[in-house]
Amino acid sequence: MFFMAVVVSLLLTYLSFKYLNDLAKFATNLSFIISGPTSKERILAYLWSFVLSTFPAFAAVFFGSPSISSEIETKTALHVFTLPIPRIILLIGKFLSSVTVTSAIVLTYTIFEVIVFQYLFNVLIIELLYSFLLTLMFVLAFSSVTFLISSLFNKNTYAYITALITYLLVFNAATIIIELLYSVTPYYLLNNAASITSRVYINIFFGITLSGGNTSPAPFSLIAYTSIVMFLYFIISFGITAVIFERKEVK
Amino acid sequence: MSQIEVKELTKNYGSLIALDHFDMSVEKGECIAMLGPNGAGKSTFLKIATNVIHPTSGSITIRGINIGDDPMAALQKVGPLVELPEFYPYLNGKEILDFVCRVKGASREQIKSETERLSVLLSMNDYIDRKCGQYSRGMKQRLALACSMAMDPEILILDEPTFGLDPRGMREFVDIISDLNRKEHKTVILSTHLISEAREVASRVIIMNHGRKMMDMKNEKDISMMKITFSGTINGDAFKNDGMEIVESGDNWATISVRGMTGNSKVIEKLLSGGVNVNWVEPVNNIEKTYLELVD
Repeated sequence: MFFMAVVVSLLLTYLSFKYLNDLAKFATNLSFIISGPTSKERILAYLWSFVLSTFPAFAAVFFGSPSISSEIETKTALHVFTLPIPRIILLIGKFLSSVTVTSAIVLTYTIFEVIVFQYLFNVLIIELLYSFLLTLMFVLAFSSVTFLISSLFNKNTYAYITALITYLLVFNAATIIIELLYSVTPYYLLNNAASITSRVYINIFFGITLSGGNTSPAPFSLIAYTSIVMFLYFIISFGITAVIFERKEVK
Repeated sequence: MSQIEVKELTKNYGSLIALDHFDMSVEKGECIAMLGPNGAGKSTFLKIATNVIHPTSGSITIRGINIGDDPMAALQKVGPLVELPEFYPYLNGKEILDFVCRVKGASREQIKSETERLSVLLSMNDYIDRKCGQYSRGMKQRLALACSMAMDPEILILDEPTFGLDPRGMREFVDIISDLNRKEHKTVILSTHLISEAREVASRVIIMNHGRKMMDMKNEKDISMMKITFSGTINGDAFKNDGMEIVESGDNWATISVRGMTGNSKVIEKLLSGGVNVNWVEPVNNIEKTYLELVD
């Protein structure tokens, strides 16, 4: 996972240098007008963020999904559960380590991004920081969801598959249904809320049935709303996980 | 006050009753062997007692603390070994013991000395620095027992502690458990399929079947007796210091209590060194007889 993040970052670095002067053409093709002092930087950052946005999700699934189910499947729980240590402490420890490793991957490609931007433009836009912090919030939220899924199963494979299906299929299916029925993008679904990590640069979105936006950064109200959504996913999922983990048995 | 008090403990898995209104009271220093066939409820009880599973109804109180109310406080002085636990394969034995001692509140010096003591006691020196992923079943069992014995617990709860060990390992384990109970007065509850093991270590044997307690044998005469035949005479007082006591005797035969004497060879050795011309030694199989009567 870490290696892949490095490889993709290197590839994006190469493409950034090679196609920097074609950004205007890219924007024109999408019928967007590049204007403002940092528009070029924001479009390039948007492309970086768009390409790399799947990494935190896959890393969260990779590190979070087996966190509880593997304890039951491999029977390490028979040792750990009998120790005089509260299960909530065990859960917090596992969660923090999973979030830390996933965040390290985010940090890796963010460092690449910062170096490239510093070199190309000799300036660092504030949106880079916003995107980084929002990505960390997404890591927190989706890791929490993967922990919840992990707590429901006693086998790793089921946890992995369910976490992937939830993110790639269930959330998207729900998005399509809601967009078709109500013609609005449901930002209360985690996959849509997570798009804010790119939209802090330019507020365009390619929904499944709806598309739109402009080259301005996403408004503060949208950033605040999606942040609250992600925070709620984190709190609610973690709370339910803690209750299930407390009652978890090794038969 | 009893050290462990079990009241009406029941565990259901759907329609299956794994443990059925189980009651038990354990005094300090007792060594209880739980015997029974597979599915008798032994492991279910030990898992509830160590917080691995939760009862459907009933309660277990350890040192006056209900495990359902405060499992951490209840387990603070308990050394558990449940089935054959696995360990994180990327940690070595020393790191596992370090972790266990740390969780039990040991200082840095205590962790070092405890790790050394346990690796010597359980003959783990050759592989304590190897990753647990490379351990054999017997090595894992030794490490699991070391974890349960770490930081001097008052109570040991051991689920088939000799399962998967070679004969030498089994003998060592039985000796260690015996010593912990008799010399250090630890309370021990262990489950086993081996009647010989129960006879050697236990001061009390509970026979279980279908999740219920079928028999609670507290009388030493029923548990650890041997019948010997010999030529000449026997002086019972000569063996008292060795833990043997003559219970009954006749012409050239005697029934002796041998609790604490692990293995027939040791009994014979002690008798010979006491000047008894031994012809034959055999266990009085009260446990086996009762077990076969109760367990269909």
